[in-house]
Amino acid sequence: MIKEFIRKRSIHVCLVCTGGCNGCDIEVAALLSQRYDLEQYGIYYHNNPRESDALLVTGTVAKQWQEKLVEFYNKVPEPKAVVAIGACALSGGIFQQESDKVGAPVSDVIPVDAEVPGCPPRPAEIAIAVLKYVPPTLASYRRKI
Amino acid sequence: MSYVPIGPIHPGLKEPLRIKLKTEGERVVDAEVDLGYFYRGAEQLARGKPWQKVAYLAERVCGICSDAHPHTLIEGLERIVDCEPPLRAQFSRVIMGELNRIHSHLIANAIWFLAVEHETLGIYNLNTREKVMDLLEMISGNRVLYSWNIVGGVRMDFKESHLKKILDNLAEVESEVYRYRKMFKTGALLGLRSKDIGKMTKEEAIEVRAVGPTARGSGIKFDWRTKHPTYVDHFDFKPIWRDECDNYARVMMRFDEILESIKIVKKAVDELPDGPIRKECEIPRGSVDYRYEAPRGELAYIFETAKHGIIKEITIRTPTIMNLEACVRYMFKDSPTIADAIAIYQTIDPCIACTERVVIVDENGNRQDFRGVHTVLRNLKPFKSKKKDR
Amino acid sequence: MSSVIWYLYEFARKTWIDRFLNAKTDPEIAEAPSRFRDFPEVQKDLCISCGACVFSCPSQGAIKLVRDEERENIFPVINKSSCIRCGFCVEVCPTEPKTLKTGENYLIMEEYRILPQEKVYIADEYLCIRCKKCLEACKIGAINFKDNVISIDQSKCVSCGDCINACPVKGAIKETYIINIDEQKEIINTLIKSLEGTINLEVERIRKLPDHDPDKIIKLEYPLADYLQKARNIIPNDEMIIKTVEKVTDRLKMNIITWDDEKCNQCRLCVNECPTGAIKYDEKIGKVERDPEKCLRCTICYQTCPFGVPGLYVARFLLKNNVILITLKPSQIPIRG
Repeated sequence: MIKEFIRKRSIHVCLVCTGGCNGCDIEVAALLSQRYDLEQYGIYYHNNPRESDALLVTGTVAKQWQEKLVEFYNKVPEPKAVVAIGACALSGGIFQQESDKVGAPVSDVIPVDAEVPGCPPRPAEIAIAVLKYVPPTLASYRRKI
Repeated sequence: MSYVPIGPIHPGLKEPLRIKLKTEGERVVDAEVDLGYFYRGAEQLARGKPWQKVAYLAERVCGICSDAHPHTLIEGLERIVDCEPPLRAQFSRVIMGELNRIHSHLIANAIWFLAVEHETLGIYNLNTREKVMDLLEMISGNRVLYSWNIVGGVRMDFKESHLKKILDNLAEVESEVYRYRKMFKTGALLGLRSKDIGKMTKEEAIEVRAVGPTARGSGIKFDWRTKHPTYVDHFDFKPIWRDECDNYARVMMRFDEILESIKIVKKAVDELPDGPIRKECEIPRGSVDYRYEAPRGELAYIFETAKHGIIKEITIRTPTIMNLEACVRYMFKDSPTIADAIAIYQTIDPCIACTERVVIVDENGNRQDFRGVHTVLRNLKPFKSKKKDR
Repeated sequence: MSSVIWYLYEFARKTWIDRFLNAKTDPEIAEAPSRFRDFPEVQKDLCISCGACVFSCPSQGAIKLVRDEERENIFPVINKSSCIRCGFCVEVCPTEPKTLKTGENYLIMEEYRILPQEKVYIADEYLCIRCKKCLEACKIGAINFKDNVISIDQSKCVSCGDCINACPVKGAIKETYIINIDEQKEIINTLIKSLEGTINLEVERIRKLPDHDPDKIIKLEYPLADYLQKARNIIPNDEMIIKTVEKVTDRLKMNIITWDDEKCNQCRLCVNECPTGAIKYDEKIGKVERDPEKCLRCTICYQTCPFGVPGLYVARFLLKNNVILITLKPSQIPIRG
């Protein structure tokens, strides 16, 4: 009970970049600045899957990532949530053209809970998506048997 | 003797990449870099497409130097037609390019400060960068990917209110960058983490063909902007360089370049000429090799067009591939701790998204597609240094 | 030590304390500037369903044309998950005012040609019957009628193809792909090789055709299914393949040369006449041999040979329902000897 209450107010996120143009990543990095100040909303940003509640996935899933992303997802402790950021992660965007170089969308590889469209989305849109969709997903998470 | 793998996901790295360090105790003796986590096949996609679409694709090769890529492609296309854009368009390209450079250098320094765990300066730099990002979004309509350049000029015009806001925000940025520069210069702990670490001498820099701020931090006085016609004709531009050859020099270089860029933008805004911002150009058959100074160094677009401006063949050479080799071969050597190795890696301002378009070419010149093979830079033979006008 | 003092000084600076006391959320965080390129808005009433936006979009599958049953109108629908917010569709939209809107992007200068084109439409002066149906069909006004000649303004054309549908004469308006020219050449070469292969299977039947009798013909059929598989490996664009095949079959006239060894008397007249050296006399076997790989189908050997060893037949083609119909006729060229 207390655990659930607290978990709603402190979300640890881990950023995984699976091969885009870096645009979405620097927009996530911009959230760290004082102007947006991600930590005032209780979101803590670091790059360790074993400590995090939510994965932020950006980029087209490049060939090397197709198996590793699943491994990576399995390392996140339950309950967990996945937010796909940017056009590349949602559909492959500009790179999904007559080529088998990319394995987009991310939802083919791991289950995705929230999607943020845009190329790239503004930092405010990312923060809103994380705050709005990650706590209910974590609350209603069912362990897979 | 032990091996320490870093990456592909690591708190110190902002982009997936694998560094394998060979260590004796804490001292690094050898290093390998494995790439291949970012491959998208941008050059293959560009072939057989009209230039209008390729410009959008070039923008998305890298999201941080996203003005430099279309800028190089489009000025290259203009060289084929021999069509010079109007003066106002040239000046607005300079303004956009320099603003892009300021934001890129600020984020590079911020990431370096975060890598040495100096969070105050890191977050300060990120916050100052927001002021530049506001300008970019106000002018072009997007924070990261601007779609600003087009053959024959630029897409949209500046308004009076925009020019005023550029000067206001840049005055703030300038005063704050002076402050950070002083903090970095006088900070004793920062000095311990930066001075005499990651040394690369001038001769070594020439041998591995290091480019951009990495080379200029080692005493090479070369900048492609000194050969750009707009800079030569209208701006009194001189390359900035330092001869300390270490981490301190490279971080300081970026602060100095930001101040220089602010000067250029101020001059461009003051002297912005009136007139049209676009001109009609029809692109014929031809080929070109055009280079431009991206925030990270020399960026080359070598391509061939067919009739109606369709790209037949294109090769992009990005600065990070040379800088990464310089980093692995010379800077990592005798790095005192593993924590310093990550700080050294961040000083070359690596952009892996730019770099990963690898096409393997064998001895007979046959091209193979990239199949996710690890590229080990140390196994490549060193380039023989040729005399070049540097 | 000096750095510690410096940080304390930083901390205690008056501006810092002021900012700390007056801390507020910046309204600019959520508000976008007026030029911000958001996902384009579609105004269905203005759309002329030309398809320029779909065609110009750099990201595949971001815009689709959808039919509205009530208004009987086709209009673009934007898929937010693939849209890259580049604003190019707004830039190329030819209607006035624009159907698509985003930020201030519709202010972009319109007098310059920016539409990337895959196809070019050209009116043929000789075949045109001046019915002016295309003038009515074009919704943008890119077709001009001046001095009794119809011409298409390339800077306005959005390659929608309405003029071709309206044109009553086949071939009066030509549609040409200007991209992937090398691939198109490869497609044509593969087609011709496979057609020739099909005909060569029936050589025995062809030889029995009586010479110089134009009424006797042979009909063959070549289903396209296998060929399409091959062509898709070269370029995965069915529309382009079919259009190229149609153009080729409309124009192609193929000379088929058969070689009858039994009639040959080894006079070797043809060996000297052959321009490429495709016909050779092999002294060991004592036989004249023809190499089909080198042959140009120039028919000189057919005109030279006094014994009728080479036979010449003309093949014509027609594409119908994904089957190429082949018609073979003996040639009408007289024999010189």
